[in-house]
Amino acid sequence: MVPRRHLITRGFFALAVILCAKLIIIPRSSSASLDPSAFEAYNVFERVTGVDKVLNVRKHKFLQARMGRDVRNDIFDDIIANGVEDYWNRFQMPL
Amino acid sequence: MSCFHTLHGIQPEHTLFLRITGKDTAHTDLQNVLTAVESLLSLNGWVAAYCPTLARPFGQNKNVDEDAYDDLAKDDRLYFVAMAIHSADHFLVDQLAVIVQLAKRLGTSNIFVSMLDYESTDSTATLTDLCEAVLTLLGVSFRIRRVSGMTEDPLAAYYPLEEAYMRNLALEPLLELHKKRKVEFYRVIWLKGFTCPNDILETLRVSIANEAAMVCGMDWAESNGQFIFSDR
Repeated sequence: MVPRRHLITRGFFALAVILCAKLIIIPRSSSASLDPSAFEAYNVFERVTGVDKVLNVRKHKFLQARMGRDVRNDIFDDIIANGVEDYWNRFQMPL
Repeated sequence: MSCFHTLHGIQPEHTLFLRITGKDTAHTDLQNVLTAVESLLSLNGWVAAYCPTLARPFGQNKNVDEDAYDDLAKDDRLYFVAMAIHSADHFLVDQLAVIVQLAKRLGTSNIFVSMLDYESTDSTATLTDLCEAVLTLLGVSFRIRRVSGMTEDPLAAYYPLEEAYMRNLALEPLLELHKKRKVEFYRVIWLKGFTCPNDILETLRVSIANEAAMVCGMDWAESNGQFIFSDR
């Protein structure tokens, strides 16, 4: 016959062990799936603040555009220039 | 920036890329751009530093500290900032500082910045890279475009036509966004030369009273107690 006090302490001990096991195991299993790149797709700020702006650069990539950057000479440039000049000389040049 | 690349190693000129691409340097690059944004927000460029000291012709802008222009910010309207840059590298960083200030006041997703580099021959091309980096990081939508001149020979350029061509190109995103996405902007803000951020907000207020679609700063100068302006 186990005394009642021992039963209670044992019960507490068992509970503490279970809680500890939970605390140790569960965060590990959930953090294993957390990849830093996984956050990008979720749009956390947009979801939290409920922002649905027209000019949303994360949604529409074309809103941040760069045109005519580093335009330099190409291997076909002279051929194209020749063609344009020829066309001008034959058909476009005013008499 | 820590990502320098040299194209055409034989040629003496170096091309600077401000794009953050390398994973190993991305963190430092981000820090560098953030530092740049911070110094832009402090507004102490060679012209921007004079903003609080300038006298205004009609005594506007006296209560710089108290007036936060909340009426413009709270309505959540879209503003289109247009710039035509023709070899103006001495102004560009200060103008970027003004844009950053406007983004701070009006909201980063409420402004669209259209920069047109009209065949600049100075370091404007490099500075637009900086603008791109800063605006990308702030999440401001923009179109930075470099075009070659309308007329090949600069001496043959017909001034008003050239100017109109340049400005219409800067306004192109405005029309495209309206046509294809039904995006309507409330005002167009022309940044010509340099305008202090508070003065731009003041002109926006005036534009509401005048029902004007576009605003633009004017070059006022004080002479013998009177104000004159020298603008074309």
